Amino acid sequence: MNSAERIFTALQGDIPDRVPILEWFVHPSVYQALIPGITWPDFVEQIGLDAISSLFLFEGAFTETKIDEKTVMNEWGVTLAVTEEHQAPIEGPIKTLEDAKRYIPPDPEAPHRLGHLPEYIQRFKGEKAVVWAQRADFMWAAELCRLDDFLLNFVINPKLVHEVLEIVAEFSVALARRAVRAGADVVMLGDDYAFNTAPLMSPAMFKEFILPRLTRVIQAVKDEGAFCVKHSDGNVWSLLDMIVDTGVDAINPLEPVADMEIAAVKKKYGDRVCLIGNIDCGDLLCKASPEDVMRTVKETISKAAPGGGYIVSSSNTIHSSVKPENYRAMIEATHRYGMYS
Amino acid sequence: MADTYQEIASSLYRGDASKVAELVREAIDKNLDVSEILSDGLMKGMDKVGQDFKTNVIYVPEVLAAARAMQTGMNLLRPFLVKGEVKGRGKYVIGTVAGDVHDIGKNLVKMLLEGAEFEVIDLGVDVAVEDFVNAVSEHSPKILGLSALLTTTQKSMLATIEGLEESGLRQSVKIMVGGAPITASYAEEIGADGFAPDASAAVDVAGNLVKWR
Repeated sequence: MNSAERIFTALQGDIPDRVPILEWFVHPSVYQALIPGITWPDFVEQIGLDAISSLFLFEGAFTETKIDEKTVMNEWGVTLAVTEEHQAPIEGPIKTLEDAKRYIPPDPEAPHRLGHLPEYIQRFKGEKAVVWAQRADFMWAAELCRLDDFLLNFVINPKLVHEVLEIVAEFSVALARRAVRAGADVVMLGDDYAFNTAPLMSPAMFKEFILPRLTRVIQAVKDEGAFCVKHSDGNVWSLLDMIVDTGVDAINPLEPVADMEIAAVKKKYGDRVCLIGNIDCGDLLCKASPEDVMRTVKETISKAAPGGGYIVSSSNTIHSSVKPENYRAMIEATHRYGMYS
Repeated sequence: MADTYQEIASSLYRGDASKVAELVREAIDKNLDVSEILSDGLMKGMDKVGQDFKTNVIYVPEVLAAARAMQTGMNLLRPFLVKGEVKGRGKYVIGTVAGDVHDIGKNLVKMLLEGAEFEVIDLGVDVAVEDFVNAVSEHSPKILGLSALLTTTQKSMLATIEGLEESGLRQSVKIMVGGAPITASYAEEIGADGFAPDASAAVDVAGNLVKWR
Protein backbone atom coordinates (compact mmCIF):
# COMPACT_ATOMS: atom_id res chain seq x y z
CA MET A 1 0.00 0.00 0.00
CA ASN A 2 1.54 3.33 -0.96
CA SER A 3 0.86 6.72 0.58
CA ALA A 4 -1.97 7.64 -1.77
CA GLU A 5 -3.76 4.31 -1.20
CA ARG A 6 -3.24 4.70 2.54
CA ILE A 7 -4.92 8.12 2.59
CA PHE A 8 -7.80 7.04 0.31
CA THR A 9 -8.43 3.94 2.43
CA ALA A 10 -8.62 6.03 5.60
CA LEU A 11 -10.87 8.61 3.92
CA GLN A 12 -13.21 5.81 2.93
CA GLY A 13 -13.38 4.78 6.58
CA ASP A 14 -11.52 1.55 5.98
CA ILE A 15 -8.39 0.14 7.59
CA PRO A 16 -5.09 0.86 5.80
CA ASP A 17 -1.73 -0.74 6.62
CA ARG A 18 -0.79 2.21 8.83
CA VAL A 19 -2.46 5.36 10.09
CA PRO A 20 -1.59 7.98 7.47
CA ILE A 21 -0.19 11.44 8.22
CA LEU A 22 -0.72 14.70 6.40
CA GLU A 23 -0.45 18.41 7.02
CA TRP A 24 -2.12 21.27 5.13
CA PHE A 25 0.79 23.59 5.74
CA VAL A 26 4.22 23.32 7.32
CA HIS A 27 6.13 26.57 7.80
CA PRO A 28 9.45 26.57 5.89
CA SER A 29 11.32 27.47 9.09
CA VAL A 30 10.22 24.14 10.57
CA TYR A 31 10.90 21.81 7.68
CA GLN A 32 14.15 23.52 6.77
CA ALA A 33 15.34 23.22 10.36
CA LEU A 34 14.87 19.47 9.97
CA ILE A 35 16.45 19.22 6.52
CA PRO A 36 18.31 22.44 5.66
CA GLY A 37 17.68 23.95 2.25
CA ILE A 38 14.94 21.48 1.34
CA THR A 39 11.81 22.35 -0.62
CA TRP A 40 8.30 21.45 0.53
CA PRO A 41 7.75 18.66 -2.05
CA ASP A 42 11.18 17.14 -1.35
CA PHE A 43 10.46 17.32 2.38
CA VAL A 44 7.15 15.49 1.95
CA GLU A 45 8.98 12.76 0.08
CA GLN A 46 11.98 12.43 2.39
CA ILE A 47 10.25 12.65 5.76
CA GLY A 48 7.43 10.29 4.80
CA LEU A 49 4.23 12.33 4.78
CA ASP A 50 1.42 10.57 2.93
CA ALA A 51 0.03 13.61 1.15
CA ILE A 52 1.35 16.63 -0.68
CA SER A 53 -0.82 19.61 0.02
CA SER A 54 -1.31 22.92 -1.64
CA LEU A 55 -3.01 25.47 0.64
CA PHE A 56 -4.28 28.41 -1.38
CA LEU A 57 -3.23 30.95 1.28
CA PHE A 58 0.42 30.25 0.68
CA GLU A 59 0.34 29.42 -2.99
CA GLY A 60 0.05 32.90 -4.48
CA ALA A 61 -3.43 31.91 -5.62
CA PHE A 62 -4.52 35.54 -5.45
CA THR A 63 -2.08 38.25 -6.42
CA GLU A 64 -1.60 41.14 -4.06
CA THR A 65 -0.88 44.78 -4.74
CA LYS A 66 1.09 46.71 -2.19
CA ILE A 67 -0.67 49.80 -0.87
CA ASP A 68 1.93 50.78 1.70
CA GLU A 69 4.39 49.20 4.14
CA LYS A 70 1.63 47.68 6.22
CA THR A 71 -1.19 47.04 3.74
CA VAL A 72 -1.89 45.11 0.57
CA MET A 73 -4.97 44.58 -1.55
CA ASN A 74 -5.80 41.20 -3.10
CA GLU A 75 -7.74 40.23 -6.22
CA TRP A 76 -11.01 40.13 -4.30
CA GLY A 77 -10.55 43.85 -3.58
CA VAL A 78 -10.00 43.03 0.09
CA THR A 79 -7.48 45.12 2.01
CA LEU A 80 -5.17 43.16 4.28
CA ALA A 81 -2.95 44.40 7.07
CA VAL A 82 0.48 42.87 6.99
CA THR A 83 2.66 42.20 10.00
CA GLU A 84 5.73 40.04 10.31
CA GLU A 85 3.62 37.22 11.64
CA HIS A 86 0.62 37.21 9.35
CA GLN A 87 -1.79 38.97 7.09
CA ALA A 88 -5.39 39.61 8.00
CA PRO A 89 -8.24 41.32 6.18
CA ILE A 90 -9.25 44.71 7.54
CA GLU A 91 -11.56 46.12 4.88
CA GLY A 92 -13.76 44.81 2.09
CA PRO A 93 -15.30 46.23 -1.09
CA ILE A 94 -18.92 45.24 -0.37
CA LYS A 95 -20.96 47.38 2.01
CA THR A 96 -24.44 47.40 0.42
CA LEU A 97 -26.67 45.16 -1.65
CA GLU A 98 -25.92 47.43 -4.63
CA ASP A 99 -22.17 46.86 -4.13
CA ALA A 100 -22.85 43.12 -4.10
CA LYS A 101 -24.92 43.18 -7.26
CA ARG A 102 -22.17 45.09 -9.10
CA TYR A 103 -19.32 43.01 -7.70
CA ILE A 104 -17.21 40.84 -9.98
CA PRO A 105 -15.22 38.11 -8.19
CA PRO A 106 -11.78 36.92 -9.27
CA ASP A 107 -11.67 34.57 -12.24
CA PRO A 108 -11.45 30.95 -11.02
CA GLU A 109 -9.80 30.02 -14.33
CA ALA A 110 -6.86 32.44 -14.01
CA PRO A 111 -3.55 30.63 -14.68
CA HIS A 112 -2.02 31.27 -11.24
CA ARG A 113 -5.15 30.34 -9.31
CA LEU A 114 -4.00 26.79 -8.47
CA GLY A 115 -0.52 27.80 -7.34
CA HIS A 116 1.86 24.82 -7.28
CA LEU A 117 -0.91 22.23 -7.54
CA PRO A 118 -0.20 21.29 -11.17
CA GLU A 119 3.46 20.73 -10.33
CA TYR A 120 2.58 18.51 -7.36
CA ILE A 121 0.14 16.52 -9.47
CA GLN A 122 2.82 15.99 -12.08
CA ARG A 123 5.30 14.71 -9.53
CA PHE A 124 3.20 12.82 -7.00
CA LYS A 125 -0.07 11.70 -8.57
CA GLY A 126 -0.66 8.05 -7.74
CA GLU A 127 2.15 8.00 -5.15
CA LYS A 128 1.04 10.52 -2.56
CA ALA A 129 -2.48 11.87 -2.11
CA VAL A 130 -2.60 15.27 -3.79
CA VAL A 131 -4.56 17.69 -1.65
CA TRP A 132 -5.93 21.08 -2.70
CA ALA A 133 -7.06 23.36 0.11
CA GLN A 134 -9.41 26.25 -0.58
CA ARG A 135 -12.52 27.73 0.98
CA ALA A 136 -16.23 27.13 0.45
CA ASP A 137 -18.45 30.12 1.22
CA PHE A 138 -18.08 31.73 4.63
CA MET A 139 -14.69 33.37 5.01
CA TRP A 140 -14.22 34.77 1.51
CA ALA A 141 -17.69 36.28 1.85
CA ALA A 142 -16.89 37.63 5.31
CA GLU A 143 -13.70 39.22 3.99
CA LEU A 144 -15.58 40.92 1.18
CA CYS A 145 -17.80 42.62 3.75
CA ARG A 146 -15.45 42.81 6.75
CA LEU A 147 -16.17 40.08 9.26
CA ASP A 148 -17.89 42.20 11.91
CA ASP A 149 -20.20 43.87 9.37
CA PHE A 150 -20.89 40.54 7.66
CA LEU A 151 -22.01 38.94 10.89
CA LEU A 152 -24.04 42.03 11.82
CA ASN A 153 -25.79 41.76 8.46
CA PHE A 154 -26.98 38.27 9.33
CA VAL A 155 -29.44 40.14 11.57
CA ILE A 156 -29.98 43.54 9.93
CA ASN A 157 -29.46 42.82 6.22
CA PRO A 158 -29.82 39.11 5.44
CA LYS A 159 -30.43 39.77 1.73
CA LEU A 160 -26.91 41.15 1.42
CA VAL A 161 -25.49 38.10 3.17
CA HIS A 162 -27.29 35.74 0.80
CA GLU A 163 -26.15 37.71 -2.23
CA VAL A 164 -22.49 37.66 -1.22
CA LEU A 165 -22.56 33.98 -0.24
CA GLU A 166 -23.97 33.12 -3.66
CA ILE A 167 -21.19 35.01 -5.45
CA VAL A 168 -18.55 33.24 -3.39
CA ALA A 169 -20.16 29.80 -3.65
CA GLU A 170 -20.21 30.05 -7.43
CA PHE A 171 -16.51 30.94 -7.42
CA SER A 172 -15.66 28.14 -4.99
CA VAL A 173 -17.55 25.50 -6.97
CA ALA A 174 -15.74 26.51 -10.16
CA LEU A 175 -12.34 26.53 -8.47
CA ALA A 176 -12.88 23.19 -6.76
CA ARG A 177 -14.03 21.53 -10.01
CA ARG A 178 -10.99 22.95 -11.76
CA ALA A 179 -8.61 21.63 -9.09
CA VAL A 180 -10.06 18.14 -9.23
CA ARG A 181 -10.07 18.04 -13.03
CA ALA A 182 -6.42 19.10 -12.89
CA GLY A 183 -5.77 16.02 -10.76
CA ALA A 184 -6.34 16.83 -7.07
CA ASP A 185 -7.43 13.73 -5.15
CA VAL A 186 -8.70 15.55 -2.08
CA VAL A 187 -10.21 19.01 -1.65
CA MET A 188 -10.09 20.49 1.82
CA LEU A 189 -12.59 23.28 2.44
CA GLY A 190 -11.42 25.83 5.01
CA ASP A 191 -13.73 28.47 6.55
CA ASP A 192 -13.52 28.65 10.31
CA TYR A 193 -16.96 28.76 11.91
CA ALA A 194 -16.14 28.81 15.59
CA PHE A 195 -14.29 30.15 18.62
CA ASN A 196 -12.87 27.77 21.23
CA THR A 197 -16.17 27.64 23.06
CA ALA A 198 -18.89 27.98 20.43
CA PRO A 199 -19.59 28.78 16.78
CA LEU A 200 -19.67 32.41 15.67
CA MET A 201 -23.26 32.03 14.52
CA SER A 202 -26.21 30.00 15.78
CA PRO A 203 -26.86 26.56 14.30
CA ALA A 204 -30.07 28.01 12.86
CA MET A 205 -28.18 30.78 11.05
CA PHE A 206 -25.54 28.29 9.92
CA LYS A 207 -28.32 26.20 8.42
CA GLU A 208 -29.96 29.16 6.71
CA PHE A 209 -26.91 30.95 5.35
CA ILE A 210 -23.85 28.73 5.19
CA LEU A 211 -25.00 25.13 4.89
CA PRO A 212 -26.76 25.31 1.50
CA ARG A 213 -23.67 26.73 -0.20
CA LEU A 214 -21.25 24.49 1.69
CA THR A 215 -23.30 21.52 0.54
CA ARG A 216 -23.11 22.68 -3.09
CA VAL A 217 -19.32 22.94 -2.98
CA ILE A 218 -18.97 19.53 -1.30
CA GLN A 219 -21.30 17.95 -3.85
CA ALA A 220 -19.32 19.51 -6.70
CA VAL A 221 -16.10 18.00 -5.32
CA LYS A 222 -17.72 14.58 -4.91
CA ASP A 223 -19.31 14.87 -8.31
CA GLU A 224 -15.87 15.38 -9.86
CA GLY A 225 -14.70 12.18 -8.15
CA ALA A 226 -12.52 13.58 -5.37
CA PHE A 227 -12.63 13.22 -1.60
CA CYS A 228 -13.79 16.22 0.40
CA VAL A 229 -12.65 17.33 3.86
CA LYS A 230 -14.35 20.02 5.94
CA HIS A 231 -11.94 22.00 8.09
CA SER A 232 -13.12 24.38 10.77
CA ASP A 233 -11.26 25.63 13.79
CA GLY A 234 -13.00 25.84 17.11
CA ASN A 235 -15.84 24.15 18.91
CA VAL A 236 -18.13 22.96 16.13
CA TRP A 237 -20.06 20.35 18.11
CA SER A 238 -23.39 22.06 17.49
CA LEU A 239 -22.77 22.15 13.73
CA LEU A 240 -21.34 18.68 13.20
CA ASP A 241 -24.62 16.86 12.58
CA MET A 242 -25.30 19.23 9.70
CA ILE A 243 -21.73 19.07 8.41
CA VAL A 244 -21.56 15.27 8.52
CA ASP A 245 -25.01 15.02 6.86
CA THR A 246 -23.61 16.77 3.76
CA GLY A 247 -21.81 13.55 2.89
CA VAL A 248 -18.35 15.02 3.42
CA ASP A 249 -15.63 12.37 3.72
CA ALA A 250 -13.66 13.79 6.64
CA ILE A 251 -13.67 16.46 9.33
CA ASN A 252 -10.67 18.42 10.61
CA PRO A 253 -8.77 19.71 12.64
CA LEU A 254 -10.59 18.77 15.84
CA GLU A 255 -8.78 21.18 18.16
CA PRO A 256 -8.27 19.83 21.68
CA VAL A 257 -8.34 23.39 23.08
CA ALA A 258 -11.84 23.77 21.63
CA ASP A 259 -13.17 20.66 23.37
CA MET A 260 -13.14 18.58 20.20
CA GLU A 261 -12.16 15.52 22.22
CA ILE A 262 -11.26 12.84 19.75
CA ALA A 263 -12.76 9.82 21.48
CA ALA A 264 -16.08 11.63 21.75
CA VAL A 265 -16.00 12.69 18.08
CA LYS A 266 -15.04 9.16 17.05
CA LYS A 267 -17.88 7.68 19.07
CA LYS A 268 -20.49 9.96 17.55
CA TYR A 269 -19.31 10.30 13.96
CA GLY A 270 -16.54 7.76 13.42
CA ASP A 271 -18.73 5.39 11.44
CA ARG A 272 -19.65 8.15 8.97
CA VAL A 273 -16.56 10.32 8.51
CA CYS A 274 -12.80 10.04 8.68
CA LEU A 275 -11.22 12.13 11.44
CA ILE A 276 -8.13 14.21 10.65
CA GLY A 277 -6.09 16.15 13.21
CA ASN A 278 -6.26 16.64 16.97
CA ILE A 279 -2.46 16.86 17.67
CA ASP A 280 -2.23 20.16 19.55
CA CYS A 281 -0.08 22.71 17.72
CA GLY A 282 -0.14 25.03 20.74
CA ASP A 283 1.47 23.98 24.00
CA LEU A 284 2.19 20.40 22.91
CA LEU A 285 4.06 20.99 19.66
CA CYS A 286 5.55 24.34 20.72
CA LYS A 287 6.67 23.70 24.27
CA ALA A 288 6.50 20.04 25.28
CA SER A 289 9.26 17.50 24.81
CA PRO A 290 9.51 15.15 21.83
CA GLU A 291 8.74 12.30 24.25
CA ASP A 292 5.50 14.03 25.28
CA VAL A 293 4.62 14.47 21.62
CA MET A 294 5.24 10.81 20.86
CA ARG A 295 3.16 9.75 23.84
CA THR A 296 0.29 12.02 22.80
CA VAL A 297 0.34 10.79 19.21
CA LYS A 298 0.32 7.21 20.47
CA GLU A 299 -2.65 7.93 22.77
CA THR A 300 -4.54 9.76 20.04
CA ILE A 301 -4.02 6.91 17.61
CA SER A 302 -5.29 4.45 20.21
CA LYS A 303 -8.49 6.48 20.58
CA ALA A 304 -9.11 7.48 16.98
CA ALA A 305 -7.62 4.82 14.74
CA PRO A 306 -9.44 1.59 15.67
CA GLY A 307 -11.56 0.49 12.75
CA GLY A 308 -9.75 2.84 10.40
CA GLY A 309 -10.87 6.33 9.45
CA TYR A 310 -8.19 8.42 11.20
CA ILE A 311 -5.35 10.49 9.74
CA VAL A 312 -2.73 12.10 11.98
CA SER A 313 -2.44 15.86 11.58
CA SER A 314 -1.97 18.93 13.76
CA SER A 315 -4.85 20.87 15.31
CA ASN A 316 -4.27 23.62 12.78
CA THR A 317 -0.95 23.89 10.91
CA ILE A 318 2.73 23.31 11.67
CA HIS A 319 3.35 27.04 12.11
CA SER A 320 6.61 28.82 12.82
CA SER A 321 6.43 28.40 16.61
CA VAL A 322 6.34 24.60 16.45
CA LYS A 323 9.59 23.05 17.62
CA PRO A 324 11.06 21.19 14.61
CA GLU A 325 12.11 18.25 16.79
CA ASN A 326 8.52 17.94 17.95
CA TYR A 327 7.23 17.79 14.41
CA ARG A 328 9.78 15.09 13.64
CA ALA A 329 8.61 13.23 16.75
CA MET A 330 5.01 13.50 15.55
CA ILE A 331 5.91 11.91 12.22
CA GLU A 332 8.07 9.21 13.83
CA ALA A 333 5.36 8.35 16.33
CA THR A 334 2.87 7.90 13.51
CA HIS A 335 5.19 5.49 11.73
CA ARG A 336 6.03 3.66 14.97
CA TYR A 337 2.61 3.43 16.63
CA GLY A 338 0.32 3.65 13.63
CA MET A 339 0.61 0.14 12.23
CA TYR A 340 -2.62 -1.81 12.07
CA SER A 341 -1.66 -5.36 13.02
CA MET B 1 -41.84 54.21 33.21
CA ALA B 2 -40.76 50.68 34.03
CA ASP B 3 -42.54 49.61 30.85
CA THR B 4 -40.58 52.11 28.79
CA TYR B 5 -37.30 50.85 30.19
CA GLN B 6 -38.39 47.26 29.59
CA GLU B 7 -39.29 48.10 26.00
CA ILE B 8 -35.92 49.79 25.46
CA ALA B 9 -34.13 46.76 26.91
CA SER B 10 -36.03 44.27 24.76
CA SER B 11 -35.68 46.34 21.57
CA LEU B 12 -31.96 46.54 22.25
CA TYR B 13 -31.81 42.79 22.82
CA ARG B 14 -33.55 42.21 19.48
CA GLY B 15 -31.04 44.49 17.75
CA ASP B 16 -33.70 46.98 16.68
CA ALA B 17 -31.65 50.18 16.63
CA SER B 18 -34.36 52.41 15.19
CA LYS B 19 -36.86 51.28 17.83
CA VAL B 20 -34.32 51.93 20.57
CA ALA B 21 -33.72 55.41 19.14
CA GLU B 22 -37.46 56.12 19.03
CA LEU B 23 -38.02 54.95 22.60
CA VAL B 24 -34.97 56.74 24.01
CA ARG B 25 -36.05 60.00 22.32
CA GLU B 26 -39.54 59.59 23.80
CA ALA B 27 -38.09 58.93 27.23
CA ILE B 28 -35.89 62.02 27.02
CA ASP B 29 -38.86 64.13 25.85
CA LYS B 30 -40.86 62.87 28.83
CA ASN B 31 -38.00 64.13 31.08
CA LEU B 32 -37.28 60.71 32.45
CA ASP B 33 -34.07 60.43 34.46
CA VAL B 34 -31.29 60.04 31.92
CA SER B 35 -29.07 57.86 34.07
CA GLU B 36 -32.08 55.59 34.64
CA ILE B 37 -32.77 55.34 30.90
CA LEU B 38 -29.14 54.27 30.63
CA SER B 39 -29.04 51.78 33.47
CA ASP B 40 -32.58 50.37 33.46
CA GLY B 41 -33.07 50.48 29.70
CA LEU B 42 -29.83 50.16 27.77
CA MET B 43 -27.57 48.46 30.29
CA LYS B 44 -30.34 46.09 31.38
CA GLY B 45 -30.74 45.02 27.77
CA MET B 46 -26.99 44.52 27.30
CA ASP B 47 -26.82 42.58 30.54
CA LYS B 48 -29.28 40.04 29.13
CA VAL B 49 -27.29 40.02 25.88
CA GLY B 50 -24.15 39.14 27.82
CA GLN B 51 -25.89 36.40 29.81
CA ASP B 52 -27.52 34.81 26.77
CA PHE B 53 -24.30 35.00 24.76
CA LYS B 54 -22.54 33.19 27.58
CA THR B 55 -25.06 30.35 27.51
CA ASN B 56 -25.24 30.12 23.71
CA VAL B 57 -28.82 31.33 23.48
CA ILE B 58 -27.56 34.02 21.11
CA TYR B 59 -24.37 34.29 19.09
CA VAL B 60 -22.09 36.91 17.54
CA PRO B 61 -24.54 38.37 14.98
CA GLU B 62 -27.14 39.03 17.67
CA VAL B 63 -24.53 40.54 19.99
CA LEU B 64 -23.29 42.86 17.24
CA ALA B 65 -26.85 43.95 16.40
CA ALA B 66 -27.61 44.60 20.06
CA ALA B 67 -24.36 46.54 20.54
CA ARG B 68 -25.26 48.67 17.54
CA ALA B 69 -28.66 49.35 19.04
CA MET B 70 -27.00 50.25 22.32
CA GLN B 71 -24.65 52.70 20.61
CA THR B 72 -27.62 54.33 18.92
CA GLY B 73 -29.26 54.81 22.32
CA MET B 74 -26.00 55.97 23.94
CA ASN B 75 -25.41 58.58 21.26
CA LEU B 76 -28.80 60.12 22.03
CA LEU B 77 -28.16 60.10 25.78
CA ARG B 78 -24.60 61.34 25.68
CA PRO B 79 -25.34 65.10 25.49
CA PHE B 80 -27.53 64.77 28.57
CA LEU B 81 -25.19 62.70 30.67
CA VAL B 82 -23.33 64.86 33.15
CA LYS B 83 -19.73 63.85 33.65
CA GLY B 84 -19.42 62.05 36.95
CA GLU B 85 -23.16 61.48 37.20
CA VAL B 86 -22.75 58.08 35.70
CA LYS B 87 -20.33 56.24 37.91
CA GLY B 88 -19.43 53.31 35.74
CA ARG B 89 -17.06 50.57 36.76
CA GLY B 90 -13.89 52.19 35.57
CA LYS B 91 -11.61 52.49 32.57
CA TYR B 92 -10.52 49.44 30.61
CA VAL B 93 -7.80 49.70 27.98
CA ILE B 94 -7.93 46.94 25.37
CA GLY B 95 -5.93 45.98 22.32
CA THR B 96 -4.63 43.16 20.16
CA VAL B 97 -0.92 42.65 20.75
CA ALA B 98 1.97 43.54 18.48
CA GLY B 99 2.17 41.49 15.28
CA ASP B 100 -1.46 40.41 15.45
CA VAL B 101 -4.27 41.97 13.42
CA HIS B 102 -7.21 39.83 14.54
CA ASP B 103 -9.94 41.79 16.24
CA ILE B 104 -13.36 40.17 16.39
CA GLY B 105 -12.75 38.66 19.83
CA LYS B 106 -11.42 41.95 21.14
CA ASN B 107 -14.38 43.80 19.62
CA LEU B 108 -16.86 41.46 21.29
CA VAL B 109 -15.15 41.88 24.65
CA LYS B 110 -15.25 45.64 24.18
CA MET B 111 -19.00 45.64 23.41
CA LEU B 112 -19.87 43.46 26.35
CA LEU B 113 -17.66 45.50 28.72
CA GLU B 114 -19.34 48.71 27.58
CA GLY B 115 -22.63 46.99 28.21
CA ALA B 116 -21.37 46.22 31.69
CA GLU B 117 -20.59 49.90 32.31
CA PHE B 118 -16.86 49.90 31.77
CA GLU B 119 -15.40 52.81 29.84
CA VAL B 120 -13.39 51.07 27.15
CA ILE B 121 -10.41 52.62 25.40
CA ASP B 122 -9.71 50.52 22.33
CA LEU B 123 -6.16 50.79 21.01
CA GLY B 124 -6.96 48.64 18.00
CA VAL B 125 -4.73 45.92 16.61
CA ASP B 126 -1.00 45.29 16.23
CA VAL B 127 -0.43 47.50 19.25
CA ALA B 128 3.23 48.04 20.10
CA VAL B 129 4.41 47.56 23.67
CA GLU B 130 5.17 51.26 24.04
CA ASP B 131 1.66 52.18 22.91
CA PHE B 132 0.16 49.96 25.60
CA VAL B 133 2.53 51.50 28.14
CA ASN B 134 1.64 55.03 27.05
CA ALA B 135 -2.07 54.27 27.20
CA VAL B 136 -1.81 52.88 30.74
CA SER B 137 0.18 55.93 31.75
CA GLU B 138 -2.27 58.35 30.13
CA HIS B 139 -5.59 56.76 31.13
CA SER B 140 -4.74 55.04 34.42
CA PRO B 141 -7.22 52.27 33.67
CA LYS B 142 -8.30 49.75 36.24
CA ILE B 143 -7.72 46.93 33.78
CA LEU B 144 -5.62 46.33 30.68
CA GLY B 145 -6.93 43.61 28.36
CA LEU B 146 -4.64 41.92 25.84
CA SER B 147 -5.83 39.79 22.93
CA ALA B 148 -3.87 37.46 20.64
CA LEU B 149 -5.12 34.90 18.16
CA LEU B 150 -1.87 33.38 16.97
CA THR B 151 0.51 31.11 18.85
CA THR B 152 3.23 33.14 17.20
CA THR B 153 2.02 36.47 18.60
CA GLN B 154 1.14 35.48 22.15
CA LYS B 155 4.74 36.21 23.14
CA SER B 156 3.88 39.90 22.64
CA MET B 157 1.69 39.55 25.74
CA LEU B 158 4.73 38.78 27.87
CA ALA B 159 6.65 41.61 26.18
CA THR B 160 3.82 44.01 27.01
CA ILE B 161 3.75 42.96 30.66
CA GLU B 162 7.52 43.32 30.84
CA GLY B 163 7.26 46.76 29.25
CA LEU B 164 4.86 47.83 31.96
CA GLU B 165 7.19 46.47 34.64
CA GLU B 166 10.11 48.38 33.19
CA SER B 167 8.08 51.58 33.21
CA GLY B 168 7.06 51.04 36.83
CA LEU B 169 3.40 50.79 35.82
CA ARG B 170 2.75 47.08 36.32
CA GLN B 171 1.37 47.45 39.83
CA SER B 172 -0.96 50.26 38.82
CA VAL B 173 -3.19 48.09 36.65
CA LYS B 174 -4.77 44.64 36.53
CA ILE B 175 -3.97 42.72 33.36
CA MET B 176 -6.17 40.12 31.74
CA VAL B 177 -5.51 38.09 28.62
CA GLY B 178 -7.48 36.10 26.07
CA GLY B 179 -7.53 34.67 22.57
CA ALA B 180 -7.58 31.31 20.84
CA PRO B 181 -4.11 30.01 21.86
CA ILE B 182 -4.25 31.52 25.35
CA THR B 183 -4.71 29.19 28.31
CA ALA B 184 -5.08 29.75 32.03
CA SER B 185 -1.63 28.28 32.59
CA TYR B 186 -0.08 30.61 30.03
CA ALA B 187 -1.75 33.56 31.72
CA GLU B 188 -0.28 32.46 35.02
CA GLU B 189 3.13 31.86 33.48
CA ILE B 190 3.37 35.42 32.18
CA GLY B 191 2.07 36.98 35.38
CA ALA B 192 -1.34 38.13 34.15
CA ASP B 193 -4.01 38.78 36.76
CA GLY B 194 -6.82 37.21 34.82
CA PHE B 195 -7.71 35.00 31.89
CA ALA B 196 -10.95 34.41 30.02
CA PRO B 197 -11.66 31.62 27.51
CA ASP B 198 -14.22 33.74 25.66
CA ALA B 199 -15.80 37.19 25.52
CA SER B 200 -18.63 36.45 27.94
CA ALA B 201 -16.27 35.13 30.57
CA ALA B 202 -14.15 38.25 30.10
CA VAL B 203 -16.89 40.43 31.56
CA ASP B 204 -17.12 38.26 34.68
CA VAL B 205 -13.35 38.22 35.10
CA ALA B 206 -13.20 41.99 34.68
CA GLY B 207 -15.93 42.44 37.26
CA ASN B 208 -14.00 40.36 39.77
CA LEU B 209 -10.74 42.19 39.13
CA VAL B 210 -12.40 45.54 39.72
CA LYS B 211 -14.06 44.37 42.92
CA TRP B 212 -10.76 43.37 44.45
CA ARG B 213 -8.89 46.46 43.41
